[in-house]
Amino acid sequence: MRPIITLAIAAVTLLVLTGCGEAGEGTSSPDNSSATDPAGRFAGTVRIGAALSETGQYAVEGRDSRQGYDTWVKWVNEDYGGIEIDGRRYAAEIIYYDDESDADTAANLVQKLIDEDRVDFLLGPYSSGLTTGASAIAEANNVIMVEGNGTSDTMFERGFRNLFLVATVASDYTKSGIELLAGQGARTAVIAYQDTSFPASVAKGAIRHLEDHGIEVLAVETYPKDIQDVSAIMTKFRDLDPDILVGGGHYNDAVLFVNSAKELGFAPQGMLITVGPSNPKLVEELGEDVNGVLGPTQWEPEMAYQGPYFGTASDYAAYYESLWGEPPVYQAASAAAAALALHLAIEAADSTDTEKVREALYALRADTFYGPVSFDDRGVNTAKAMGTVQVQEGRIRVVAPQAAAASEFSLPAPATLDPNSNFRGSKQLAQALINGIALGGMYTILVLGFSIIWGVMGVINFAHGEFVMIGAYLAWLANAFWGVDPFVSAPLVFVVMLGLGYATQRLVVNPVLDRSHLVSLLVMFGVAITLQNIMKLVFSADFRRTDTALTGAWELTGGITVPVTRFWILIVALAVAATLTLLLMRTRLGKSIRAAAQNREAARIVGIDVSQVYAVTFAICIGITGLAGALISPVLAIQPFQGPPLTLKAFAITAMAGLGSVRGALGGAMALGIVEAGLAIYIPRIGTNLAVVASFVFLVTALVLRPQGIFGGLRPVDATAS
Amino acid sequence: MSRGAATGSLDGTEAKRRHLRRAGWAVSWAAVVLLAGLPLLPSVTNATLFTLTLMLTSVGVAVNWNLTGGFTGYVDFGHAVWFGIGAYTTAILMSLQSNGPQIGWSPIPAIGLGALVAGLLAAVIGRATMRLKGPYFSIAMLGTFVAMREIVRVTSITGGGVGLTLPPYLNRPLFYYIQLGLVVALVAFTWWLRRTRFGAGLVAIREDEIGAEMRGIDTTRFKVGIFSFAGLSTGLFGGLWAYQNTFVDPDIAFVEVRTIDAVMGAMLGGLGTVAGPVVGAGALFWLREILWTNLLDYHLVAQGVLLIVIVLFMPRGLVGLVDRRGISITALWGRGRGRKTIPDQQEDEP
Repeated sequence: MRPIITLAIAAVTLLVLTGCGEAGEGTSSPDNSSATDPAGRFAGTVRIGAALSETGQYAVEGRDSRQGYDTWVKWVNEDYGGIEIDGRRYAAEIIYYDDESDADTAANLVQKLIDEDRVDFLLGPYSSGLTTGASAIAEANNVIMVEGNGTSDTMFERGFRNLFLVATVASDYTKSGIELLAGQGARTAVIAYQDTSFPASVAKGAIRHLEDHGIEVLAVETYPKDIQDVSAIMTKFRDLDPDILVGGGHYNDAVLFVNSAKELGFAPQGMLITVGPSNPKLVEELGEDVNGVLGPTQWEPEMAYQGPYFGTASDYAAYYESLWGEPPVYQAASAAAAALALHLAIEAADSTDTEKVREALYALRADTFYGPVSFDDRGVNTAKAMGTVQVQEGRIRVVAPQAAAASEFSLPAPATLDPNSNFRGSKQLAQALINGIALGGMYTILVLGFSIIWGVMGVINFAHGEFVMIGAYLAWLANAFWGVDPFVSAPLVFVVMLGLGYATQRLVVNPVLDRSHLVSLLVMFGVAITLQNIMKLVFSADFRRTDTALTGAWELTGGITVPVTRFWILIVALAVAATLTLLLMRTRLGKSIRAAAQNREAARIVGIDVSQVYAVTFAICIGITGLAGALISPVLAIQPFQGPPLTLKAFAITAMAGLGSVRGALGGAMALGIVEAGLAIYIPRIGTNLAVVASFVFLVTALVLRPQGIFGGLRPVDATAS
Repeated sequence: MSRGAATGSLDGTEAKRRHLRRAGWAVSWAAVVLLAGLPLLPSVTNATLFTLTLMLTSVGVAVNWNLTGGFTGYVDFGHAVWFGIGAYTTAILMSLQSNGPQIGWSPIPAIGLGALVAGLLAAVIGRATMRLKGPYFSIAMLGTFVAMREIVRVTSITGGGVGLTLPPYLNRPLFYYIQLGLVVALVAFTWWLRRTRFGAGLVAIREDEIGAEMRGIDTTRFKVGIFSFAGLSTGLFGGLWAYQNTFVDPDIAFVEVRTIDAVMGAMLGGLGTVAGPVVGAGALFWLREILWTNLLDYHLVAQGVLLIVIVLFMPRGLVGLVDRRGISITALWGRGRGRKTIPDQQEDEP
């Protein structure tokens, strides 16, 4: 009973503490940022509404956008003297709500801004997904929305008359970059993109721009959201030896691309990555590896743009920095530019009437710090070209378009490996097998702890992936702050996780041991959600990685390569599997564990302290799981939500291979690794997407065909027995 | 799973139960009348109706989830797949294009067919996955959900990762009344179902599937039947949602959170009861608003903790709480303090 009470107290304390900490910062009441007007300088107020993300996935970009809008409010009210309508000055006021990065909420809030706050105009939320829903509501209610941070082309193909975008649309993101590379003599290209709305629009446009410049597209690959490993795609690309790689989706994908290219020795002449290179964080995170990488940018302070409002781009940057204490990222500039465009249109129309302002927006021709602004009949600003930056010796420099460039393009260092362009048949098969076995080694170490816990105590540890994630973060801490190699810190991580495992078992697992599978499953699911979000609060959702000395690739005959890091992970996995087998089969503890697994009551009767045995087993398994996390930290991206796919893989392998069977875990992990690697290499275009679902198809088929599992284990699998 | 309070299997006095039942009816009718009259109030804006519509969606999906998860004990971790399929079918039909003229379907047949497709797919997939028991079924459904999202992503008719847009027709009061009517009908259906042989068969499957089979219940037909109905009904909500949201893409149509909300709503309210998922999902919806407002980033942590607390301490949910207190008070009056009137219902060993 005691652990339950402890847990309850902990839960209540947490709730109360967080409640107290945050009370009064509620976001449901509108948050007005209008300047007070004691002197009566203004004849009235222009009310503008915006839903922006303060929490959730887009919290950072949402804050940047809001600071951009607020920069304009501050400037228009205090420096400019108010919006001039019919000879009188009006104050600008923006009403904000937090859309929680959720499409339903954003739509709901826009409805609320229109109905309840009766705003005159709307400014856009952050991201294409949120803007698509929000703009439909603005359209249906005939309220103008000007925005700078939702750029997917589909939004502007709906014939809306109330949506205006100051930024460049997604399909033109790579235009100036591809022009630049074509001018350098590039002939061939490959494309890889995350198959979600925005990156897909960018890629579609990139294919068109490449074709316009006569560049041959050798391969197109897509991959799903939340991918942790792009090495299969990079292997394929390396073998095609293209001049250009166009790729990416969101910031985190950039980390994956640069990492994986380095790991495999893939270095095309031009690496154009959709989102990331313009962000100083990427340079900070990846250091030298990111040198030479190109990326599109909507705006940079060093661009040669200027206008009568805010002055030059760098003037705007200075003004922004004086307000917020940090330099503006392009999202902030786009937001301010959207507000400025609306402001100019209101003044040109001399009215806040929707019809008149719309006409003024269509007629607007302005030069601004953000570049020229002029909307076409879709509502897209086609006057401003997308910029391209290149990371040069750790600095982000604008290299295209000509009108805004501040530096020359520099050719990156040549490839370290000599890629073999004739890479087919048996060599490809050998490479797929090697990749598969390497992946299988990772899965082995990842699955062992899960399998033993399920086999011994019948608990499906739904927070398994979260323990991997915590192990990986521990290794990252050691690596980032003291430069410890993850292969060195792994044993330490094992020890720390041993303790965490013991505590978790005593606190939440033990109380539910006597209840059904589903109860423990749901409890561990609760633990998973809790851990994910605690880690997100502590470390943010940015992808991290660790550096190890055991990196690179060994080249065998004919261009076949062995990834070094994965090879060593495989070795450690085999060693751990062997040790675990010895422990289970040859020691007294192992005997007690097996006895407790076979028959809890009988074990109790012969004098085994079952609950202690369970706690120790759980601790060892979590220790191994944490160790696995540390080992994979240089290979898979570390982030708070990396756990669930790993848990599902562990489940698939265990259910197929036998509960609590070390041999089964090894066999199942290898089988899945080889199938996934084969799919990724042999299926063009969507291979990586398919590899993600392979484990489920595998699992469901295996369970339906052979419900008792393939290998034996500590506990019989019987998926059809209740 | 714990037996629900409304199954009538509890050892309470007849008068007490009649009293509770009458109170339940009164509360239900009051709630329906209140919700139906709400849009007539001048202070209620479209934005409020939109919020309530979202809540009704959440309640509807939880009620559907409870049909399999609560009644038959098949805990479905991928229920949101039917929502996504309903949404996508609707979106595909409504945005159909030929060269030139728009040949998109009008919304009512599109949403209807969306529900039907979801129901049919549920029948096919349910026949395979419902052979599996306990956690195996749960995870197989989670797998189905994830796989379906990837399939939608790589198919061209769905618009791939870019998704599809629908014409914006946003009549909030209309959608509100449609969904209110649906939820009321669904709850009435559940209430009626509990009183039929079919409903009793479902509960028998939960309690002892082999036993039920031996008594001549065609368990496959029963459980796959209710699973398909739940799929169809959730598909209907999905279609309505797509129409209101005006666009779909794989990552907003197939969201894990919809399943999590349904599971948590049903558990919070009381698994396998008629009122449970309604009370639970409704409470969860408002609780979330409050948590979000006051805890911001911590609210997801709080939600995880809440799940642990519900499972550990409130296996019967809110409805069970009311019922148990009622009964124990009666016991106090009639038979003296301390007597245990309800045997602690332990979870059955796997």
